[in-house]
Amino acid sequence: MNDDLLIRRIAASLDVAPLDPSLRHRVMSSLPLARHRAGRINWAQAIAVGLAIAVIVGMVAIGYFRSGLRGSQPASHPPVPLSECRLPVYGFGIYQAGQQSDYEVGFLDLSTQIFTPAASSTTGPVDHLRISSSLDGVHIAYDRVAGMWLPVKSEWIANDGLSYVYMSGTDIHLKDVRTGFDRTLVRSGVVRLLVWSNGKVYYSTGGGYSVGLAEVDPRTGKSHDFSVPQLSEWWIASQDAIWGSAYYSGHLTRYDTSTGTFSTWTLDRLVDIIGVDSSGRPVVVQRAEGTDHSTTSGQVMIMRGSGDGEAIGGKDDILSADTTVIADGDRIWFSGTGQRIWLYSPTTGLLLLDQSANASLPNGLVIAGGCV
Amino acid sequence: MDEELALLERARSGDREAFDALVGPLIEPGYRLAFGMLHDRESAEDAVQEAAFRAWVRLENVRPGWSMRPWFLGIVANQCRNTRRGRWWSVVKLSAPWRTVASPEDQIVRGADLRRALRRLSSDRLEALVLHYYVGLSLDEVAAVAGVPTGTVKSRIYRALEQLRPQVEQISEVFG
Repeated sequence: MNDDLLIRRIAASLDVAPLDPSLRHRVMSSLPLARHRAGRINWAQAIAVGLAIAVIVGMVAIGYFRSGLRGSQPASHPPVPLSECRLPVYGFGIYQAGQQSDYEVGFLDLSTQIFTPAASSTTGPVDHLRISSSLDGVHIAYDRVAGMWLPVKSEWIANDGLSYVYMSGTDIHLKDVRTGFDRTLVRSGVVRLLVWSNGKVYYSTGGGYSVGLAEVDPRTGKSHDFSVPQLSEWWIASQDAIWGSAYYSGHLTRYDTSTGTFSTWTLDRLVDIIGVDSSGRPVVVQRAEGTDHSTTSGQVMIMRGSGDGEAIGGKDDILSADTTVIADGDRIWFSGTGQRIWLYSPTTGLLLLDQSANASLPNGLVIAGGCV
Repeated sequence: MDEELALLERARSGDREAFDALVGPLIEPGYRLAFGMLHDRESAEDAVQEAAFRAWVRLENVRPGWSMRPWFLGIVANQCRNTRRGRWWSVVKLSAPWRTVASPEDQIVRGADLRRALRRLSSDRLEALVLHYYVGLSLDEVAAVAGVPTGTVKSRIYRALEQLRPQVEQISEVFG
């Protein structure tokens, strides 16, 4: 049989289920109003939730959680055993065409799998947070020190939990949690707000493939632009370091916020940084091999040093850009798509906590902080 | 390209019409790819819907110089690979008694046997075959979707055809 006939027969065998003309409309109208995660429920997920619960129950039964997760969390946040963990999460209401949805914040009890909405007295600033079309997306973090839900990333909150910074246009604002006093800290030119670390607020400037790094002292308002060693897109920060990389360079540039020094880590592969662990080490997703490296391999690694990475698992839905990564002592939480939460710890490896069948949760489940 | 970039910026800011303009035309090739890999209309529609959702929330992943078509089809393909991996129930469907259909019209039965043969291909080979011969992408575009060199695509397609050839010939002997 020649190739042409073979190919025609293969194509003909597939050409039996033509496209439903309404599919495009159905697909587009099913998208959430905001560019944010929403839930998807299917059989596999429904089964996986049962398995996840079984894993949790089993680990509680063998007493693992009490003994195995003593970690590097700051003294002000003693590690909470998973069996007692209430995980701060948020999501949004069911999408209805033409209508805005409010975000819902609260705690997911990992033992009972029950979501309890937060008391309204703790959600002041978040009350004003509606689904927005902001390029930078929506951020909600639970401030454990103040016991408040704040409309920012957790790394934008001061160590004392009493102040936070946020972006408005290209300005950086500083806000007091208790009094609500708000002032402009940096006027214009800010591309991305990175972290409040060691008494300084770090942010990126510039644009395109040449993004710079700058800091501002929130007490004095004095800012400083760094001379970075290579063109980078700065986008991930921990309490101790800020990580940048030039596209497809195979290098990570590390700025140590304690010592004020730059260093370079050379990698033998192309990666996307998606977060940091509690020790400030980059959590990365390895890019697939290929000509344009446009896809990820799904292989998640923790970088331990230059050229030194520890693979923690390969999961296709732990990807770059919109994955929320929360370091919580020895644990790392990942907000996956479709109401799925991934948990990594050195002892357990990567676990899926599938919440797709948990009707008590809001849609588009995102983790807002470590266990409380 | 400038128009696509402008649409992309609008879509990133939450403009659903812009997203529709960008991704809407890709629904049909996306569905063809998904059906080619999953052989089930409902699963294919689900895969496209999930891919569109993922594309919507991950528009920041589109980088300067990238084309939307391979990017979106790559998401569809990834979704299909996941579905194929997690599809324990497909065993039930595969065991369906194709031969005992009351009035087996030749073309349908032949197609069913061929689809069954296609299911035995690895996801990589099936994806390359479907994208090139059924969706109609060039080898370079298939390579961009799969994130592999063009030579690898050629190799996958060649091996897929060689794997299928004996089975297709056998079917031809039975049905002519």
